[in-house]
Amino acid sequence: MIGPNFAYERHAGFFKYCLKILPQQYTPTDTTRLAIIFFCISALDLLGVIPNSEEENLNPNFGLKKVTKDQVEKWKDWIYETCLLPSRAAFRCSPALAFANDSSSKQTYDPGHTAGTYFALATLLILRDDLSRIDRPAMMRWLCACQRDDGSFATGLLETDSHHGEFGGEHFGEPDLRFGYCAAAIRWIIGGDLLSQRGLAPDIDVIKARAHVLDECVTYDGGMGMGGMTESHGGLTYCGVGMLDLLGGASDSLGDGIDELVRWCLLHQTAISDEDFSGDEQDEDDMVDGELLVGFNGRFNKPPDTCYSFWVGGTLAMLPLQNGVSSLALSDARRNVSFLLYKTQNTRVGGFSKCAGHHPDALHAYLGIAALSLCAETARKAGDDDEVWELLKGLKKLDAALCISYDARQYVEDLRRRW
Amino acid sequence: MSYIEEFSWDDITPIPQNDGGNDAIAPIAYDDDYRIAMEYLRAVMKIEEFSERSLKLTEDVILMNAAHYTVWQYRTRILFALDKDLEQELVWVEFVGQKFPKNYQIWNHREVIVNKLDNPIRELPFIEVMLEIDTKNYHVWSYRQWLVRRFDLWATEVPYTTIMIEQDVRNNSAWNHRFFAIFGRKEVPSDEVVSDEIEFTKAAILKAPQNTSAWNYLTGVMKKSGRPLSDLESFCLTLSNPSSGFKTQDLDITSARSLEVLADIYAEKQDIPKASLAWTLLAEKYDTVRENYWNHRKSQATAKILGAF
Repeated sequence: MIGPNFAYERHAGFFKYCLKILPQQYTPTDTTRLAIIFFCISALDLLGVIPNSEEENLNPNFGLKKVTKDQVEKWKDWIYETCLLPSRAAFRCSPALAFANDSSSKQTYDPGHTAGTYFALATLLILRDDLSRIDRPAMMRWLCACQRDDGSFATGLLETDSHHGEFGGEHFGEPDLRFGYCAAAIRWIIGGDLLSQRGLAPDIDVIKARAHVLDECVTYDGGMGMGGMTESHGGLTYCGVGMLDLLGGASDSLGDGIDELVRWCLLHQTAISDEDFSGDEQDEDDMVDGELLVGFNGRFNKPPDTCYSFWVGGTLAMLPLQNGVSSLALSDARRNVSFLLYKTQNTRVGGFSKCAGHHPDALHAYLGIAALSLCAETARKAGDDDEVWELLKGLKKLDAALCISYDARQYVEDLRRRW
Repeated sequence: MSYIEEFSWDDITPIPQNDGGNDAIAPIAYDDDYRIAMEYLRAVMKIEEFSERSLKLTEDVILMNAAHYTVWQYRTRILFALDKDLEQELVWVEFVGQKFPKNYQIWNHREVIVNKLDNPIRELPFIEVMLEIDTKNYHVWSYRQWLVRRFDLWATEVPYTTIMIEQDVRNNSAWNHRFFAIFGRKEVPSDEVVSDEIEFTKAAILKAPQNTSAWNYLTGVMKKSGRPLSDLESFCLTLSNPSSGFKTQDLDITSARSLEVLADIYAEKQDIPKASLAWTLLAEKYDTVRENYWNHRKSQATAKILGAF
């Protein structure tokens, strides 16, 4: 078995290629194209290819060619021109929805989208945009209208005959923590809390939003589901914890629940087959040098999948342990990294796939890299000097809550101080 | 494309996608059928046309991209405006559901239609078909919960999960649904029901002692019904007896989850040496992936005890 390898150049090439053209198979993601764009641009940022700071922390050995500043300006303009709604209060999630970019005609079936708005803002921040082209107070009014009576958030609002005008309409979309997470991220990014303190915009109902997560979504096994006693799930748990974190500190809101949550997360680190000791049979493909490769799954007793290394790993990264180290340090980061590097990384065309033997795609490729960045940072803090971490030295640090590079988060904090 | 073949569109000017010209980011290489259908969809959405042809168009678009986030709402409004046969709609949704089992929007749509029809007669059979395709389909199980609450269909649920768990004792979705079926009702379950659940779960654990789903269910039931974890001590000891320490044979310990629960029981009783032994066994032999975690639990419990003096 050859040693592990992290294919910097191939990965950068993979994301650059996705940004140029996506194959027809991406048609089911047509109306969530901003998500794909975010994955690609944020991945390039973590790889150190976006020219966004004077001081570059990229390992010079990799010498990847940067995207030009001119290209960055074009990307920003494109996001605004094709996806910002005429109200400047929200983004659609794809140019495929737009049928009229004038404020006079009805926009019923081209509404603002909470996830689209989060992806647009996050991408713009990575590109160091100052967000001056959006109307932040109007965005807060829209966000407030997206909140349901139970504290959860809708995908957006659809005008009806009786509900129209500024941000009138019926809520659409699943009652789902994904949109609550996006709402909390939007509010934090645009300084909605600050606007409301100054009386410039209304705030969402933070108490209700938090209570919805804690009272409705926490499950009997200590994770989080979609609410109403649905099954705990890695992606939804990430969204719930991220939401609490962005609304003001996850650990304070979680209280005693944090211990069960940490346990829940760690129990999702799992081998390929989950046989009982008595019938223990491990596939040889899952072993490297006699060691089992152990990734994360999103629900108990399901096979591991690249994206849960981030959804579950990122949740652990938001839960502090002690001395600035997160609960991710309690997982087996090295074996998780081996799972990603050996099993789901594609070293020929770049990117990561969901599981071994599949084609790489933009979502799994980004979340694979994001998970590697979190693991490398945790190992660095814990003083682990294994050579595998040397390989990942060129990756930027990631902010687990916003799922963007640490320096992009610093940039938001600078913006917030100026606002 | 049926919408083109069956209807005239001469009076409609398609609206091409504004993709920002040559600077488009991540453009998708659409096939022509999809690209053209979307151009017509934007045109009829703009004027909010509720017609047979726009209904057919939504059908064609959904079959190419079921994840479109407003086409379903548009379709619902057309159906209601034209007073269409909603039973027919359910039949069509069954076809689409089987074609795209991972899709979210279908279930939302079905909920709206069934709610309006106020009749759940087709639902449980269809759900069963879908759960045969994927026994852990998250959307289907969530929809089943909505259905049970909406039409008060509780009677079938515990027996149904028994069958599903017998088929696959590791199906976490089925265990979760069972918890919902027992504890999701307004009435608190009787002591007898809870005791039966505990026995049912113990039997399931004996079939697969490492099964996290069953263990989580067991401890979840204990907590929810206010029973002490220590009630499980003797059961745990049959699956993992740590008393002989590291000299123990593998046969004495068949379940890491059982050792974990034992550790929790001992920790609750402030018997830290026994709890620590269980955590050490987990860290060093039976659950090494979580070595850091078990060591952390051990040092946390020790520090707590020291802090008490």
